[in-house]
This record gives sequence, structure tokens and C-alpha cells, in this order.
Amino acid sequence: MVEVLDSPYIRTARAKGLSEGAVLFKHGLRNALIPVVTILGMDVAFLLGGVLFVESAFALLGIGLLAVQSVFNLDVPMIMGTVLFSAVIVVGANLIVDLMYRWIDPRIKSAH
Amino acid sequence: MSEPLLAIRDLQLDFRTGEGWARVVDGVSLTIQVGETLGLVGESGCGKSVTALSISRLLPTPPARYAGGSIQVQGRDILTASSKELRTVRGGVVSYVFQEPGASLNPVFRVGNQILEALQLHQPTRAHDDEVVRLLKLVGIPAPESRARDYPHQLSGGMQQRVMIAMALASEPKLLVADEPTTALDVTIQAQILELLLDLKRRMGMAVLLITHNLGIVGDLADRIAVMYAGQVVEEAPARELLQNPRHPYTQALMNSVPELGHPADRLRTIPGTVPAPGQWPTGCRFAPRCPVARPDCATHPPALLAIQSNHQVRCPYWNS
Repeated sequence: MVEVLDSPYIRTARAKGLSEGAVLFKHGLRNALIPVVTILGMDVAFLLGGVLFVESAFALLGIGLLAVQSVFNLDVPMIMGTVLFSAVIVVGANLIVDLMYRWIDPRIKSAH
Repeated sequence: MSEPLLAIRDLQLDFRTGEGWARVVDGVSLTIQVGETLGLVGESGCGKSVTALSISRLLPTPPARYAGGSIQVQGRDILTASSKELRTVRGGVVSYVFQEPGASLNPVFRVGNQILEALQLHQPTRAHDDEVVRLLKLVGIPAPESRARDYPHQLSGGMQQRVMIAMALASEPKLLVADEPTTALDVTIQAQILELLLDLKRRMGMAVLLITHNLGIVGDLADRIAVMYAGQVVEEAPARELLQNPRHPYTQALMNSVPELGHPADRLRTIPGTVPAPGQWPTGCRFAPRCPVARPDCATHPPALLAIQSNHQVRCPYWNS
């Protein structure tokens, strides 16, 4: 965000007479969003990893606990199921991130 | 004479550096009358761009600091204005066209919307798509209806600069500040953009502050020219007078360094040495170390700006020899 606010188009927005709020939220925020969205996508994978421990530790019913129990019970179809399901979620999250890139920054559209 | 549109008096501007404050603009005074074109010429780092940005206080403070002087736009004091007053001046009275149009347009908004935004702020009754198309047509963009829906990266550099100009004109400013508008463009496009500026200025009766490091282009466009060196104005005169009778050695050196077409020289003429960095200016005349006609006392006595004619000022006591 700090980097974005130094860029010439922010100066252009100020030179137009926009209020400081409009400069920051309209012209600044959207340009600063790309790295944020990238991290969000990666966080989904970490979230699924963390869920294994959290759900086991606090005995919460969820895919994490299900995966851990199926490993202990050597329930192979259930292990495969939970891993595949997690994979689909991660891939889906990355797809959403990629689609959001196109919406946030129209320059990315023409690169493909 | 009526009140000038812009009056900068004895402006002093500092920038924060590692070792404290460095002065980058030191006692610059400029006035622009309604409808007048002033060319501001100087090498990189002489303070001309920051002077121009100060007109609507666009420099972030810090790192900048106004140490003295005043700026008045239509009689309003800019350096003490509230942020609300500033917003009516920005765009409403003073519009900017920056260098590097590609970086100065927001990449994530369609160019039509960026022009519309300027209309909404200052001309709300005309803020509709037809007006955007009219403005794009005015600056010579072909197929303006479909171009308005383009993003900046889909346009060429020349087209981007035309969009910047359309955006600056949308609010019908009294003063257009063009900060090296053609530096990032190739030569044929440069001529087109400058012709467009000149044509629009005549039609709309705006005043223009044209900042450039190219003396060749200001002669055709400007009514008056001010030459800056190391944070000071060293010479100011009507354009024709200045180009025919340059009195300051720096102005003369600048003019000599413009290469002429059709006169092949063995070497391009340059001014020896480099511009001193802000804060490291010589004590006497700031140009003395590079001046071909410097005398011993030049290095110790800072020269004052002398009026050698009613409208010609020179910062050199030996202008006549």
C-alpha cells in the first residue's frame, strides 16, 4: 500500500481535486490488492494443514479430525477422500484468486 | 494590471535528507497572467518540477517543507489553504499534465471513467458519457466512443498523453501545468502533443506553465521564458527576447548545447561539469564553477536578480560583457 501511494497515478488523483479518502480507497486500495489476494489464496492451503491439528486438539468435528481418525484407523478410502477433497478446495481457491486478479487488474487479462 | 492568475513570491522549499534539510528551491518568484504561457526551463534537478507541484501543494510534507515565501492562485494563498480549499483549486483552477502518461493514469480504471471522475468533481452538470466522448474527440483520439472503454495499457504513449490532457481539460482549468509532457514520447508524437496543447490553449484561453529541459520547444509555445539553475531563476524574459539575446552565461550555454539539424558537428556541445546537488551549492554564483566567463569574485559574491530591461531579468552582474 505504501508503495502504491507513492506512484504517479496517486499524484494524478490528488491533482484532480479528489478527497484524501477517495484517493486512498478508490485509487490506492485496488492497486494494493494483488499481493493481498495472492497471500489469501496461499493461506487456504495452510488453513487446511492447520485444521488437522486444531480439530484433533479441541475435538471439533470436521474434515481435519476425520482425516486424522481415518489415518489412525487405516481407513484407506477415507484417507483418499479427505486428501482429494482438500486438494479440490486448494485448487478451487487458487482458481478464485486467479479470476480475482483479472477483476482487480485488467492488465493481467491481456497477458494471456 | 489586473491580479495575476498565479503569483509565486520568494518560494523556499526544503527536502529532508539523511543529514537534515536540503534546500531545493531558493527564492523563486514567478507570475503568470490570465491566458499567458510561461516556459520554465532548466536541467534535471534544478527545482522546476517541485516548483510546479507546489502550485497546488502536491508535494507530500514531509519529506518536503515550505520554509518561506508565498504562492497565490487567483489571490488565494495556497500554502495556508485548508484541504477543502485546496481541492477546489486542484483541477478546478490548476490542472496538471505529467510526464510518463503510462504511469500517471490509474491502470485499473477505464480511461473514460478517469475523465468522468474529473467532470464529477468540478463540472457535475456535464458529467456524462457524451461529454467524455467530446473531450476525447477534442484531443484528437480516433473512435472516442470505444477508446473511452479502454484501459490505459491498451493505448499507445501518445494516446495516453492525450487522455491525460483530456482529463486535465475536463474541469476547464484556468492554468494548465504541463510538466515535461513530451519527455516520454518519441519525436513525431512530441510535435503532435505540443501542437495540440498550443491549439487548445488558444481555443480555451487557458494559461499554461510549460516545464521542459528542451529550449527548442518552448520558443514556439511560450510568451515568456524563465530559466532555472540550482533552485533559482537565473534569467527571465519574453520568449523572443530571451532566445535572441540570452544574457546569462547559463542560458547561452543551454542554447549552444541544442544540436542543430543539418549542421553536423564533430562533437555535441555540452556544459562542462554537473549540476551541484541540493545543499551543496557554491557560496557565490551557483553557476560559477561551470561558467566559461567566470571571474574571481563570482565564487564569493552571490549575484542578485537584476532587471536589465523592464521585462528582462538576469542573475549575473557581468551580463553586459
